[in-house]
Amino acid sequence: MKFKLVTSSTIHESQLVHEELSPAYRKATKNMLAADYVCKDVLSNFTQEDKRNLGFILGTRFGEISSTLEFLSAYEQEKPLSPIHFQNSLHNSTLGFICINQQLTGPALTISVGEKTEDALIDSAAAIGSMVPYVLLCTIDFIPENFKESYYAAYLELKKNDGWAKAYLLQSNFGTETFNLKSTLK
Amino acid sequence: MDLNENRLTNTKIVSYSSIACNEINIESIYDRCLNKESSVAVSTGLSEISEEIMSCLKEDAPALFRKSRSSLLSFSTLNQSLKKTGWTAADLSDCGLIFATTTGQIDLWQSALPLSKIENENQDRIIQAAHRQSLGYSLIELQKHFQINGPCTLVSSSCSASLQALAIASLWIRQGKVKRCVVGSTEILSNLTVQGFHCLRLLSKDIAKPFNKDRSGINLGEASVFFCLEADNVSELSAHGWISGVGFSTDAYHPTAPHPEGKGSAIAIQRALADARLEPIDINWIHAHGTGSLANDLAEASAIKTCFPGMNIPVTSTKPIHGHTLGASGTLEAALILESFKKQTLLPTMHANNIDPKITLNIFDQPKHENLNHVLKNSLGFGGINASIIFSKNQVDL
Repeated sequence: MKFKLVTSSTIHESQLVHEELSPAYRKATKNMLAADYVCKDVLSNFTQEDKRNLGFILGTRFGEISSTLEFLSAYEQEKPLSPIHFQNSLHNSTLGFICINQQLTGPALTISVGEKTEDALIDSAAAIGSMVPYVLLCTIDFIPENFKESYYAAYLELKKNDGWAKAYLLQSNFGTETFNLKSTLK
Repeated sequence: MDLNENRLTNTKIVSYSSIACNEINIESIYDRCLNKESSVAVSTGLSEISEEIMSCLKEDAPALFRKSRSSLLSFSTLNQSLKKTGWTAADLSDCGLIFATTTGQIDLWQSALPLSKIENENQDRIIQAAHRQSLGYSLIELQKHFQINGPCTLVSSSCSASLQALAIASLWIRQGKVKRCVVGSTEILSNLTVQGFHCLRLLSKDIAKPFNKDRSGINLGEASVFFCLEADNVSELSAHGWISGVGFSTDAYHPTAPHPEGKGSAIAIQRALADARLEPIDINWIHAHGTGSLANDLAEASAIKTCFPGMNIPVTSTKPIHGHTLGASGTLEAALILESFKKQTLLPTMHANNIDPKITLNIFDQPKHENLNHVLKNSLGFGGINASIIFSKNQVDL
């Protein structure tokens, strides 16, 4: 499968101005906010009809670690459990959030393959690209403050990607590969 | 886009194995479904694999896979499935591997991660937990041990994950990206999922009653399932069935509830039918997602009625027997479809005697012997992620 890069966008979670966000974002995690921002950015010229023919793949190594931690900590301490923390704890919850906000109704999936996540995004895009003319790829990982030391020790290369959301809009079946997708993602 | 435009080959299912329902082989799981013998404990609403079975599995597993319940199940099921194929090391060297799970090795990290909130806690333990929290760890462990060295991915799209994984594998085979692909899924019970579904008020402590007027929620279960797939021209291995059509869609409606009219699921079904170049009338049986939750069953019934108007196609949910195995549910129920092809028998739904009057589907409570060729399998997941696959007993024309 050959792709052409149509447009891309990146943002660090710290660059988001939370005060400017609508109330629709009040239950969102940091992953959701940053990933939604870049996806909205690359889809700014897409019509609703275009969005029906758009595939969407979200890649995340650690998923919604912050919500997972909050939920499990409450459980360990026998505190009341929050349904919002549970629904936001799924690796898939950022994808669902973006699909609702951006009204994406095409094929969509979340993948998580550790240090091979970027390679797997490319391989998964090959499959999804055979279904639809455009594929949106997004990567996001945000490690909560009290985890950073442990996670950086476990994953040496993580520090440079922590907190960054990246989105790439690809046109599939383009005939010739006009850019190196792998190096772009990394 | 016509998925068949570049279809070079069909996807043949050459082996499959499963541990679930407190049984260690798919034949026994199928028999339980046939006889409506639920493995769900009435006091908890959970279907667990017993410690006795886990101990037996440990005897044949390398030390690496004995540390985690999830890893042990994955190793054992994949090992079973690969042995049935006779694939060689050379065959595996360029074979694809797709794994599906929503929680991975959660038994190794769910207690350790909260320690990070406590000062002066054991950092080594937290770092070890951090390693295992990454879902990809499960996949990479299997890949290294079995030396399955082609492209790989891990799908974590909630309850649609493993049906999506099968579909991606089929697309890779059609495109010629791989000649062979291993697809699997493992899901174990955990505090996160059990307490999470409980606090969403979705968990039933009784045996679930999908499509029933008195349904009160879902049961959770454990499962590990692996499939070995090939392109149709690769070997003389006989086919247990074929993947004829795949369809995905997204609701874009609600984080945890399906679209009430099942609009997204209907699109996934229609895409799978179009991909298989089949008409609705060609479908002999629908193995539904059928969780037993109020919202899911209404939405799915609506989607089925939309796609099969005026038809009375038999519909089954087997979740009261094995519980909802979340990310593994698609592959587990697909394996039951393949067993049904062998027996040419449709599985019944437990508690099918008091169907919700709003659900006008053909749900039946006794096994039916019928000529089965094309069966539709649906999955609907949190995040509004829908997947449908059509499995066929015989190969469809390209």
